[in-house]
Amino acid sequence: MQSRFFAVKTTGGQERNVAKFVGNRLERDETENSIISSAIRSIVVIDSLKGYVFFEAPNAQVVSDAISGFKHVKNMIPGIVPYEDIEKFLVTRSIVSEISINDIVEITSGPFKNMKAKISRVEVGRSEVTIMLLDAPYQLPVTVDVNGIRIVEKSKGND
Amino acid sequence: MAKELACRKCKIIIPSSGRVCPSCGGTDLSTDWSGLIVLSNPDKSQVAKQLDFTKPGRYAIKVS
Repeated sequence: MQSRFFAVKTTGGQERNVAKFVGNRLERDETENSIISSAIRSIVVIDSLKGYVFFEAPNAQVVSDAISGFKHVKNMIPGIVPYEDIEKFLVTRSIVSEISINDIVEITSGPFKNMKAKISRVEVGRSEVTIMLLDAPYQLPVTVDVNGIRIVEKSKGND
Repeated sequence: MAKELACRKCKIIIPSSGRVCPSCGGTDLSTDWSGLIVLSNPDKSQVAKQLDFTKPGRYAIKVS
């Protein structure tokens, strides 16, 4: 039967504990050949979605059975969460392959946040780039993580 | 409590005292990981298919 995703509301900050506890319960039940342990396929905790844990199962009943009795579980959200909504958090596509030298970028985190800069070096293996700050009065090379920048303007041609 | 380690290669989460990944045998472990997937039925899981996880266990979504 096809997988469906169900959202369960938990106490804020306890998402991982809920996933671990339910995971341990499933492991314990597995030895007893319980129906629940084989029906719950996975439990997903996404750090940016505080207060929610996602359960992959064929139906809501098995999720409800699996979470029953846990202290930090509040309730199950009615309805099914589309897989696409979870998928975008699972597949983290790095922009390092799209960046090339002389691209203009905007820094989105750290002490130079909101400043514009030009790419001077790309380290694909480490997902880092060296940039020259455009707003600085002198040439200031800074090495930052690619996740902390956003491409504003691509360089014209690669020649 | 010391943070658990995640394998950079296969993303499985192991206790902080571990030195070698029990899944792939790698030693490239990191404490800097985020997200959590508890996988109990990899054969039927859509998440496991997407992320190429074949064994049950606990996995990180992103390992830095």
